[in-house]
Amino acid sequence: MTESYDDRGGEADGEGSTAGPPRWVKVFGIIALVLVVLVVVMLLVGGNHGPGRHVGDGADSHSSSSNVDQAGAGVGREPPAGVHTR
Amino acid sequence: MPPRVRKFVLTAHVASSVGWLGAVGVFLALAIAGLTADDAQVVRAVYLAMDSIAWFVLVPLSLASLLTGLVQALAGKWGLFRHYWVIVKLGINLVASVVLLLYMQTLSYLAGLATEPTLSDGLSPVLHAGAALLLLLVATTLSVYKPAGMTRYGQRKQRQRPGPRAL
Repeated sequence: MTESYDDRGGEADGEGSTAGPPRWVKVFGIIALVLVVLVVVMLLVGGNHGPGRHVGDGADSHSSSSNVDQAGAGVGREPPAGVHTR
Repeated sequence: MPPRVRKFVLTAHVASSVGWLGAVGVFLALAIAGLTADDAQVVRAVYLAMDSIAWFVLVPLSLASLLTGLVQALAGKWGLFRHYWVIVKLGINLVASVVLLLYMQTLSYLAGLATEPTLSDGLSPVLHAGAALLLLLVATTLSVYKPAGMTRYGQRKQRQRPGPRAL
């Protein structure tokens, strides 16, 4: 594995030394940008994404939380501290 | 870095990174099982297992991968900001680790509610694990192929000193 590092290193250095970012970097950048925009849109539209989405303050977070209590699962469970402030 | 230490760090980095990838695959399989199961006890078992795997396998492996990758880059010949593929891998590792740590709160809470047979958020672990698997596959591919491309910083460094082959 280390040997392959050495081999590829020589090629990579030579190809990347004359121009700006190679094409694959630009493609990766565009894909990353699209994904970031997608996540932001989901956050704005959905408004219910993130680590605190499941942690309820009762009525609005978990539609079937009453079922959980009936089954005895949610009894005594407290949401993680500092997670959900909505 | 002495060759012995370098090989040890490289071995630790490969082991933790590939181990992380495999663990995410197991996590995704469990998440799909939890999503499709009808039996409440199966769902409960799956979510409890996912919680344990996440805390005791995913989180340690992700942090180990990040740490050994940083040591490998900074103390080795590749550098952290000289090659685009190293920067992309670092970004993937950071994003995946941060999202994993943020998601742990959700996962622990889901595990606490695991007896609910109609868990409404069953798709969430599948989506997160699927995205993580894709990201880690990309990182692994970058590690093996090391596509060409040096940053301006790397080019400057290369002009100042002998290239990585000589280091």
